[in-house]
Amino acid sequence: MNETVDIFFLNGWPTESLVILGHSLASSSGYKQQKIISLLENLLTRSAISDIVWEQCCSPVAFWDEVVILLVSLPDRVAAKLQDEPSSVFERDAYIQLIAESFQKILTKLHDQLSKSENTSITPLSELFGKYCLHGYADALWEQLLPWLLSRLSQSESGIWLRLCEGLISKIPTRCMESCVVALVAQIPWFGHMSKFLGSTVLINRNLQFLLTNKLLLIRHHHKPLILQNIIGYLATTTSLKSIFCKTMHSLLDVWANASAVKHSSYEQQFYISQAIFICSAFIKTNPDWGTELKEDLLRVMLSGMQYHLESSVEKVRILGMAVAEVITQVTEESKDRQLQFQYEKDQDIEMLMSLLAIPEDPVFIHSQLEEIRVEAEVKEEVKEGITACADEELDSDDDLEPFDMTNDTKINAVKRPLYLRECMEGLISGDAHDRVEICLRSAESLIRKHPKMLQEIAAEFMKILLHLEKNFYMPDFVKCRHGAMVALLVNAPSECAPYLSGRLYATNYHLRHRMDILEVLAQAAQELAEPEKGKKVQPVVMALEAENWRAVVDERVERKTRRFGKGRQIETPEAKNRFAPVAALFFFPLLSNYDTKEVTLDLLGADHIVFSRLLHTLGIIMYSAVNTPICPRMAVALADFLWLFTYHPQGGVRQAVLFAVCMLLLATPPHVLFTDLQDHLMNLKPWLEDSVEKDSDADCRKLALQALYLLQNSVKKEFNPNEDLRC
Amino acid sequence: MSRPSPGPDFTLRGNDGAVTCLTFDGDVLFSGTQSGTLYAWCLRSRRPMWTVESHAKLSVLMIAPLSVQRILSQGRDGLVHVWQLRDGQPPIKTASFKSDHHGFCAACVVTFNGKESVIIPTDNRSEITLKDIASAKTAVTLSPRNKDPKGYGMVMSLRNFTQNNRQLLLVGYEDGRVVLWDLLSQSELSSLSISEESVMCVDYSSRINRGVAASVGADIHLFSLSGDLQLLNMKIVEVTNPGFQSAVIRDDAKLVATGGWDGRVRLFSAKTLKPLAVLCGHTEGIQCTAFSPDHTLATGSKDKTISLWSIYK
Repeated sequence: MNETVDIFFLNGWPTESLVILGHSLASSSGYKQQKIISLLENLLTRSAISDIVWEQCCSPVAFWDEVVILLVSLPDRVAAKLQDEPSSVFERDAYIQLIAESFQKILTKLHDQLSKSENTSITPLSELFGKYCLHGYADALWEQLLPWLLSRLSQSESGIWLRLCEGLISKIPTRCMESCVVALVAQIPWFGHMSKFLGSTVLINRNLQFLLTNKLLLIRHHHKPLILQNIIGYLATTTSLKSIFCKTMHSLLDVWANASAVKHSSYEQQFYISQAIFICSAFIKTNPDWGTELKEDLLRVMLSGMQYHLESSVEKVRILGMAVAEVITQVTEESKDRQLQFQYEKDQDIEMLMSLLAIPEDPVFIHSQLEEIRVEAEVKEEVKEGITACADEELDSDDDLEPFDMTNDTKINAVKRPLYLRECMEGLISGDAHDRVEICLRSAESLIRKHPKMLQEIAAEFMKILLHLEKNFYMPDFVKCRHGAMVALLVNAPSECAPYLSGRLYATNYHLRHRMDILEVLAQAAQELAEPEKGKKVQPVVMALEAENWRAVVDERVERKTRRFGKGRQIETPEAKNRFAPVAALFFFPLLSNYDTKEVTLDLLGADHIVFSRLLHTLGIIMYSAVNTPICPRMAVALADFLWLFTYHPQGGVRQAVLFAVCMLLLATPPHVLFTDLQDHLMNLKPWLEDSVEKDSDADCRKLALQALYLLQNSVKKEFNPNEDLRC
Repeated sequence: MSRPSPGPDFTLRGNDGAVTCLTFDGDVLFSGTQSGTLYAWCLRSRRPMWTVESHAKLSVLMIAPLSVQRILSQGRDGLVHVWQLRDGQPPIKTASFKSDHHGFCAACVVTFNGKESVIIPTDNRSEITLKDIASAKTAVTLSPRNKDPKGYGMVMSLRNFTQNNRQLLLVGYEDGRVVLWDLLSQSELSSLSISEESVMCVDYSSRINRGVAASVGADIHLFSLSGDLQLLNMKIVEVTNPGFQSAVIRDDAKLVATGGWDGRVRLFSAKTLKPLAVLCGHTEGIQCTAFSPDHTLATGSKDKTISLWSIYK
């Protein structure tokens, strides 16, 4: 009986067997279930899939859709039945292996058929393949099939494999297309292979065109640039797709240049689009006949977009804008002097973008070339060794003295270092004598720190000189030296310099750079002042030795010299006078006074939002530096009033700075002040922070808001449960 | 990674002015300063044994040991003094004579015809005289024969040596030429122009047949003598900062030490002039360098200190 059943199912029509077994599996149990599953396993391992598909290719049956669904869902159905003891055939990896092998078999059969000029439909195979892709097998299947297909494509001379590959993709049903093509594009190692699979299907299939040119480029986001390179390389190098390539480049640049996209989309997305633009530019550059019309259009769009990028408050976005603008002008302008060139620091991302300008080469081709190079290099090395051996013999054997390191042999500057503060100031205003200015600037910081007592009269004047000092000559660490000197000056003469600096911040006729410098110097000096001075201890007030307390004095001395075992050494906490407390107000309040005055040269609440976010940042740092000072609560109230005005600022950078300042405020203010003087603000603060955590478009803002929320909770806990452990 | 450049072994402080000349004599180091004081430093205790005012507050140009516990000093006041040394006590001046030289060139002491003599330039048209120390009489006069009224300019540096039993003298002149003289025949043997400006220092070692000469520029020249006593230029090495004040070859002919206006001591291999080390230890220009018999290097600088180095000993 058993054998009859086996023969009936295994040697009969595989399609019918599969359908019958598949259907009866649902309602089976016990022995029947076991039998059905073992029959299915046998059936599939006997290459039933390829037989079934082949049958369909030759003589289509009406219930093919049902068969497809059954095949795709078979592993899940079996697993659902078997529960804890999975079947080895239907286990994911094994099953994928099985399908891949069947596909290879059918494709080979189809190839043979076609080479005999007999026409057979590939549609059933495409339908099944598409269905598998839709069900999440896409990546694994392509991993198996792609190398196999590529090797077939490269080996065969006739175009039959090409036709097969193209047919396989073009016949895939529309709803399965996306999952299949995305996996394919992500895995193809070189863009040159793209056309072998896609041919010119993109022209006919609107869906595919939308997927490639819109969805994958503009909406999705991938970390590896391979997908971009594949799609853009395919569009650029296929002659029939040139118009689509131009359109794509346009839409990419349009998105890049969109003011609202610059403001509201995340940096990662903008970086992805910049990558795509770089790859497009690489292809336009190599092929000069792209028409001037396209180039003019690109230039026009780029110029408007660059403005939005340069106005952005996020530095990375600005740099991205500069990089893209540079590359676009490289494409559109032939002469070097008409190309844009910015000065910015090349970070990892920009290096990566630059590397995209090189069009990737066929990896197989490169591989064989590498082999050749390696052989050549080996030969060369051998020759080289011979040469050095000769040279060694020629060396004078008498000259056995080993040289010392001679990096200390530096050029000596003819100009002397200034020894006095006034000499240094004079040197700094000596204008054209660059050597002198340089050496004075280099020694300014150490001079100021050496003679803090001499500063009072000249501090403001000195600060003025430093602030107005222009970089007219090459000195790599000019900015650093000037900044260091200004900070040192402000730290050592805060009451003289702080009013001057904060006055200059809102004055007319200053660069943005000057204003940024002022804010940076104020912030750093505040931090330095707030830190306890190293090496300087506050001397306890020594009381005159009086007759009554001599005993106490003697006891104290004895105690100091007595060592007690088992107690351990007490760690001495450094005590120092808070140097920032008396001057905190000078640093803080003048900055709040004039922010809304609109000068011709300064519009903090509008275009100059970069300065504004720096101002908020500086206020935050000053607030934090003023922790534990008597004026702290007053500052906190003023800052909270101020910050509340800008909680929903349109610029991400400003929102970040506001959140930073809020964090500093929460850290610096004692909890009891928060719940008395700042109670109203706290009521509003919490919902706003929660809103930011959820909805802000900027990732950094979301993080900061979360941080602020956490700090706020901590303060609440501290105030209401002072004894509870706060480490949770 | 090569070894880092070493610092000085010891620094002798307390000179009353820029150190202008240094001479080793046993375990004593004599130094002279720009303010005309002679110092004798004990190398064991590294302290001055005595000091004496010698040249009317003008630079001491040269100190040289003589026979029978005597030393000779030459100063910019145009005088040469002979001093009798006393054990640990300041020396007593036993003789002095006028040299007619008010320039910068240090004299050198030779034994000529069995008599201790000193070779010293005069102020007269590049002329050099050899005077017998005992009698102060001029025995030899070396005068250039060209027609220029200035001759070769001032005499800047002297260096005497003996080769093939001939007493020879290398002279560096203000016009940048190095000339080889024969003392006995009083004749000019050959000449080599190394620079447009004055030759500041010249030294020669007959052991390896190599000499060095340097000027106020950044180049140091290596030369040798051919069989017929012609000066041959061999190599030029450029250093970082210009201005040489002194160059000496160690007596084992392995090392050249130069002192520069940049306050750095530079060491080269004597044979090939390969740079070996740059020693930093002085804050101002170096005026004089000297090697002791045990190969300790002493350098005297404008910063009033003398540094002792033991390197490649």
